[in-house]
Amino acid sequence: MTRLSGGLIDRSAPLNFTFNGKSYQGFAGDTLASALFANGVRLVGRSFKYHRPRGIVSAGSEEPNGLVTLGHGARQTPNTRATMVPLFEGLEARSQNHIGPLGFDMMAVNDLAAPLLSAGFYYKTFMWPKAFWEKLYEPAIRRAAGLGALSGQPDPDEYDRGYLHPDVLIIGAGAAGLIAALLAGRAGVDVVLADEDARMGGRLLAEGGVLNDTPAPDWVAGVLAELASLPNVRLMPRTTVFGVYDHGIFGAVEQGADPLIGPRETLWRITAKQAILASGATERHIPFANNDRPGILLSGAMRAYANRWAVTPQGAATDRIAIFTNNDDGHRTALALRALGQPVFAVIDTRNDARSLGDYTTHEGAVVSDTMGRKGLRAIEVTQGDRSTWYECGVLGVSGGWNPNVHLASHHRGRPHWDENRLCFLSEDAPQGLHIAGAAAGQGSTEAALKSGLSAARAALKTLGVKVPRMTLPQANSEPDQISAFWHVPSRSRAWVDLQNDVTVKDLKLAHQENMAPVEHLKRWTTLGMATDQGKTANVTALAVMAELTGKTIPETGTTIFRPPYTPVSLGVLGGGDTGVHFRPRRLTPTHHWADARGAVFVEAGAWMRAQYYPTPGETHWRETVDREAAAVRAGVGICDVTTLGKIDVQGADAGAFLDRIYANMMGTLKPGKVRYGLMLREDGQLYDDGTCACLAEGHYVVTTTTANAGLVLQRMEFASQCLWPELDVSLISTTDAWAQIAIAGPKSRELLARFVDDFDLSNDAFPFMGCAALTICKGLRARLFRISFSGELAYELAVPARYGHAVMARLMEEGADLGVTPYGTEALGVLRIEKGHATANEITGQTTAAMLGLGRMVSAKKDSIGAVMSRREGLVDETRRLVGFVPVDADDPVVAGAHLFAPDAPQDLAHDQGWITSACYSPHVGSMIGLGYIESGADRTGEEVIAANPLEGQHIRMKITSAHFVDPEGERLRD
Amino acid sequence: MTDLIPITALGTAAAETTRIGQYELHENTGLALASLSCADDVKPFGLALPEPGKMTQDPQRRSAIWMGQGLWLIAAQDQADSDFAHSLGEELGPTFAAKITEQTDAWVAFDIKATSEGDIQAVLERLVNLPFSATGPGCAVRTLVHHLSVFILRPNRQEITFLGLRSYAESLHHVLEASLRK
Repeated sequence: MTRLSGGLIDRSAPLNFTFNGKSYQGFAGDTLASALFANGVRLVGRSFKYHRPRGIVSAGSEEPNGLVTLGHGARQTPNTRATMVPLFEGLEARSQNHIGPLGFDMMAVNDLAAPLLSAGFYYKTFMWPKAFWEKLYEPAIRRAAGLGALSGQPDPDEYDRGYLHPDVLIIGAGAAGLIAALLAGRAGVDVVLADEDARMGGRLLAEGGVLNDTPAPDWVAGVLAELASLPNVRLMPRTTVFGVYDHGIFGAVEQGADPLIGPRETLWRITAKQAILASGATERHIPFANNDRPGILLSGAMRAYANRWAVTPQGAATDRIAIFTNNDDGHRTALALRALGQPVFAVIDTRNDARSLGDYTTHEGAVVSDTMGRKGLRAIEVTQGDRSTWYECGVLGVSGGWNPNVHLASHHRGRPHWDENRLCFLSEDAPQGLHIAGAAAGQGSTEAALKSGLSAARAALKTLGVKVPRMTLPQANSEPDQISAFWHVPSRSRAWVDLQNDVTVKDLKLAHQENMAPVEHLKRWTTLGMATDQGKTANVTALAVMAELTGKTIPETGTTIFRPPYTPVSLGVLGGGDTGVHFRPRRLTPTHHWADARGAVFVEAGAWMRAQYYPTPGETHWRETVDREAAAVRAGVGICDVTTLGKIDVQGADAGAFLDRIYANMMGTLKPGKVRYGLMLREDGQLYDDGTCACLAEGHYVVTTTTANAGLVLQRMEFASQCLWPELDVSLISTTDAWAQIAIAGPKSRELLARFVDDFDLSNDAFPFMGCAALTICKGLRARLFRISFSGELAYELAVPARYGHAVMARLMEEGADLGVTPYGTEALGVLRIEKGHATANEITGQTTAAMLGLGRMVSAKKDSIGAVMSRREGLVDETRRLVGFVPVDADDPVVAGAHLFAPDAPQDLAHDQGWITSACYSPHVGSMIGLGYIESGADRTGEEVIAANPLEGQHIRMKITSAHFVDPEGERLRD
Repeated sequence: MTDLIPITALGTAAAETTRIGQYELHENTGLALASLSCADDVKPFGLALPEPGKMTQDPQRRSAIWMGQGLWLIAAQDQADSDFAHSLGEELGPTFAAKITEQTDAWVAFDIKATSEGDIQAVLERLVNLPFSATGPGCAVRTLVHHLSVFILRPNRQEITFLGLRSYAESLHHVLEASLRK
């Protein structure tokens, strides 16, 4: 155990957890990483490619090594950074990427084969035979090299989402972020302060400093208490702002406060007027031979573990500690650990003029040149000049300087620039309204961070036009921060640059030799900066090493560009939490529950769920059901919900004139009580939509559209009304949902309907084909009746307020039992309309004309309408393809929609293509399959034989051309 | 009076109220609606026709809701079973050049009541991409909730009404209920 005294953990709240099945104990306030250190666990995983033993390196979200799988079963979560998991009771963690126990990974043999596994290894090695890639190489590589695995089961966790609109979003609650929040909060603007850590305070929690003579954590607590008391400030710990998007929109993920209660994660879309990026900095390491052993950490992380969590990464309390640094910050770690009584025996400083800042030995102008210890650091080799000495050492802190976290400032392609004085990349062209402060702006000392945070907040408030309150900054230390460039210790052994992806200095050299020097190529060739940490501890170092190899400066070598997300975001939270039936919204018809209770099978029609067919006991195949339903309509009466067809209420003194311009055919002459079939054209003259238009009263019409185009037609009419012809007095509104519309079709439909209507004469004379009326049914329910037919039979459509659709359907079934009334679904609806030769979206494809449907004369020449002029252009007028019917010569042959039509002896290629089959079904009326389709000169080819070719399945079926009207071609039934 | 029995938009015989913590979610099946297209100086039931994004309301909770250019939705509580569009026409009389369309069953109305305005804010910020200040009492904003087009009506500080397309009632109810539970 290496637990120290002090720290920000609650020793009164012990928490039990397991790692690789073994039980441990930590405290509230611990992370999984600190709790593992406290229990002397240093080996936590295996490396990506070489399966080298690895330990925790950092104390934050940049962690490249400490990736574990949390939980089990469906809740198993791989690739979780141990440094970011607040410890909770019952936490289960497992290490990843090894075969056999963590300590004896059988895949560690890869490490011996390292010379073969160099940069670009996959690209060079697995070239042939080609077929082996998918079947052999890729599965083998995926097994050998990788991270954690998903459970493969549906995710049982809940996710949520939300939207925030603060005046100021502050990203990061360290010194800069806190002071900025305090100023903005006191100014009274709406503030959101987000921090990825479960506890706010940033590096102030990790350092042992004081502000105004108050220990930093106490000062943090005071500021947070004040912020919490302000109603205009929202504190969001455990919230990572992962991306910056257009128009001041930020994406953020909030982790649930309790792992067992409430949503696991919430996706926040934050629209902020101003934002302050105070995301701190990430320490970088210095590659040297065998620098990847458990026990080698970033020096600043060691300080954080000691001060915040009261632990050290020692295997045993007597393990000696050393620091390897090129800057003053490394010395701060030595000082901090010495102050805690830890056995720091040396600071190895690359600078020739380095001096000890306390009671420890400094090796100036020296480097760590090698290490020993397979599963944990045991010794380091220090080289000073030409003299190398091995020292026993259990823990090594490494500090190569700090990289400001400018990621979010670069999401709009802002390129960071290299600051030669501070030896880091700083953002120069952050998105408008984003102010950078604190260590993220290279102002890393507490004093500088506070000043910079205050200044950023002032700038944000001024932009908002808000009076800036006066504020005095607390007295803080200004820590020494001298640094001298030093990027890696040259060696013949491997020195890791990217610990997560096992990329070494040697790999960079090889990439350079192979002309993969540009940073974009370097990344892809070596896998540098990929995977969960996206090179947070590696990219800048790699760039500097490459600069050294090429003899160029760092700015000449390249820069680093960041894309969202800043840290990994789960797909579950991006999905918003809705799965299964609620994955997307769906529309239910007014008779849905009635149909569902009858066992209907439903089909999606856009967002609508429509009854496709209604199986009855004994029916074993859908065709059986559909044939029965279609035959019942032809012989007696059937009922079908047709609510989904769009209904648009059109009113106004100029409604008739307006409809004349919308429809290709004349509509303004329609008299009250009459319905007319109408065609709409696109602006280019092709068919757009069809449907009926009913005139309910003078200046009052109901336009119906196809289901698919309901919204689009209304949108188009609204555009025409508001923008094209605003002078017309017309008002439009959708009534699709308002009315349940039920088709009652078949020779007995009038008889059935007569039992429903209140004092209404349904006789052919009083209410002929294409009539409409407002009436009441069932003793007073207001309704609308339309005598229109899609099936070709005597038929009506009855509309009632939607809430009564269910009851009307049920009553129709009761009242029509003796007439054999049969509910039918969209499948039978399709059969009936194909038999009748009526068009739907299959025929109106956007590339077909009115003439092709045989309705060319409907495009009125007596008036202008949308698309009318363009429909008369040469290319469309010359079109000879016409809608016809098809029956197979051999009645047992299928008719396949989509099949293309050729003359019997012609080659089956594009040049000889004569048309295609648009719709097909089995027709109980004809006794075989039938089809509708377009064919050249179709109007004159009845009786001719053609081939319907379906090259996908090698079908070539002989078809006879017929009329498109298989049923009642004279239209006597529907007028009867 | 017809002997046919209507059902709610959720397919139940009667409107249901769900209590979730400090919230009450209720399908308002009594809300009668009709659209009114006319000049903006018309005053149905004495209600001034509001500007975009707003609603006006009288003590009987009859309200006028801005819906589009020159178009308002007129709403009245507990009149869904009446021919409300007809009543509105009678109210306005034949002298107004108004176009009225029945809309009662075109919409589903879900009322959420909470014990405090903060609870309403907690719900709205999880559902609607609008600043809370834009959804204050008297607002009638048309926006999206989980891909669904809705009106958000704020009759007062502790209540909110979501007006969505009736056919989407099940999906909208799920979204609201799930959000309250979370």
